[in-house]
Amino acid sequence: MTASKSVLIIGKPASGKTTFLAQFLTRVAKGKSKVKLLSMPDNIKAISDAQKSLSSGEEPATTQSDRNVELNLSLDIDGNNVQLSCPDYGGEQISAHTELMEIDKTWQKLVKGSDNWLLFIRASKISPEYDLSVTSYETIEKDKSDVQKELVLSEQSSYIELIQSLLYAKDVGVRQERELPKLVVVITCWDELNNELTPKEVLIEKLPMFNNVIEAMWNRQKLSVLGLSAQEFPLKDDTEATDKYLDDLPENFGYMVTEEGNKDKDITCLIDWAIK
Amino acid sequence: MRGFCKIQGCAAPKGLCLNKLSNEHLVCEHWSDVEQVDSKKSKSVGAKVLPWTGEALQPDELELIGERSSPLVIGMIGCPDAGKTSYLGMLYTLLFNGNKIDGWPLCGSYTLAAWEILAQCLKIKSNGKVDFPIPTPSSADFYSLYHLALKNTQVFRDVLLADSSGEVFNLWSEDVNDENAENARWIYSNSDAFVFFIDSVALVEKRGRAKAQIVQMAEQLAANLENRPVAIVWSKADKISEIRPNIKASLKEDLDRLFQDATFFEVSNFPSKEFDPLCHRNNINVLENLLNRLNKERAINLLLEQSKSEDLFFRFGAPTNDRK
Repeated sequence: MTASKSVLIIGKPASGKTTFLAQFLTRVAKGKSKVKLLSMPDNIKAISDAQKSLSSGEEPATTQSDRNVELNLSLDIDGNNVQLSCPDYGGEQISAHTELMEIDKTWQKLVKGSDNWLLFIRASKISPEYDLSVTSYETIEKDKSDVQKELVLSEQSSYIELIQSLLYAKDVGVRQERELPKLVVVITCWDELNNELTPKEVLIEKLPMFNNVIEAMWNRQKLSVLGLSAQEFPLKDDTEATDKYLDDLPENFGYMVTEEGNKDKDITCLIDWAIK
Repeated sequence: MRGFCKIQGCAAPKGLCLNKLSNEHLVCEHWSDVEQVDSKKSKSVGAKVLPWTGEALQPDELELIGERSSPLVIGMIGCPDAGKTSYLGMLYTLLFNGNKIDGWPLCGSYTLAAWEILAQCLKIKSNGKVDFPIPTPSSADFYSLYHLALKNTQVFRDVLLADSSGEVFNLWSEDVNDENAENARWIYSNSDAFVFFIDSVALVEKRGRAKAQIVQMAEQLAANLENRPVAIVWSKADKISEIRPNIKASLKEDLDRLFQDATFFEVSNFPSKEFDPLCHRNNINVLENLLNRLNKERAINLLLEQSKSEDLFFRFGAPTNDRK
């Protein structure tokens, strides 16, 4: 077995981490996927709750912040030992990084120790911004503002700030291109998007400046944009959908979307992408 | 330290604190910084505090950047209401929407929160209105340095766009040693290049009076320029055709005399159609033009800088200054 690789899952609250982990764990536990689980972790409470919901055909609840324990899975992929870490199911700590402008000790250790980052972004929740550059001026009234604006980062800037701060915690700068971790941006809840675009095209549509920044910083070999629908369709208030899950079992739903836009039912391959 | 004031109309941290009538907004009871607001969230021991805050940089914070590269400073110069701050807001808005500076891809910024405040002013509110930025505070110690980290081929450059109030530049244009024009002096001495703004609307409305003010400031800018590149920007250029032709011609003649190598641009923040070069192309072209000229002129210096530098890494946050 070759040297161990480490994959870190990063995502804001409600970006689909828990559902992915629940579906991932169900699949790897069955031993039929490309990725094999070497040992079951001691504490999978938050994940098992999500697994129970899915097996009842119900939408997993958003992870509460008091369930913010770290999940570490030891995996085998084609003979490679891979440590998968999700330190923050709830995503609260990720939000705190850019709000408090600090990286706590746990995250410092995690980002330093990982060379493969999976960044979960739920693109369907990012609304377009309307500004003068995208609207004809005839309909606009020009007012002088008399109110001091609050410093609130847009989604796009907060992702740039997040990447900057994680690289700072890792002690890596953009000049050290070879030291940058492999970055896989995962557009989650793909089924909510209802379009025929590739994951990269979705990222460009939703977060164009963020895409420009990561493309400028990362070598193409170390940067991928993929899609993921861990659930395949919504389960909330939909008896037909619930029945499908009850009849055909959760592990038969969900897919990832390759760079070319093709669907792959084996969502565990996401981890394989992260270490390629 | 990010923050905001709870009093409507207070200009802190950019300007005077409304309650204290001074720059001491940090001691005002209405000031909330995010760290205090979020103090309920447990701050862990050993947390690594980022050395940048997202707010506009001040001259004494430049060591944050100086350690990794010698930054290019571009000074925004112009009369009050000439569109300096709005230009920066539109520049960021265009980058935000995915536009690129040709040959200079964006790699990040230490002042994202400050850029976002500028851009918020160009956002269209639900009532169809736009809040243009409040006038930039005219106190002599007010600085706003907006940062962009850019990559040109394999060379990384930190660029700082220096904004200050038009009133301060008016004082400076009349007396460069005016005690209330310290920030204008700093921008003039420390900038590697300048964007000089000509307010088309002021020329339409105030005619000769506006022209005289612009020429006076241009003369002061040209006085000790020492070959530093200048981009001359006709702002609010959607109104440029309304300027009296004789005034425009006379001003152009004066500017050609004062700045022989300057490049002229017409910009507007109000696109008349889906793609309007005045907005969508020219705002970015101004910066691109200056960067290309600076890069050409500095090519030799740049190589020397790199070879002797011990800091091999273009790091985000190389310095270790601990912010309290």
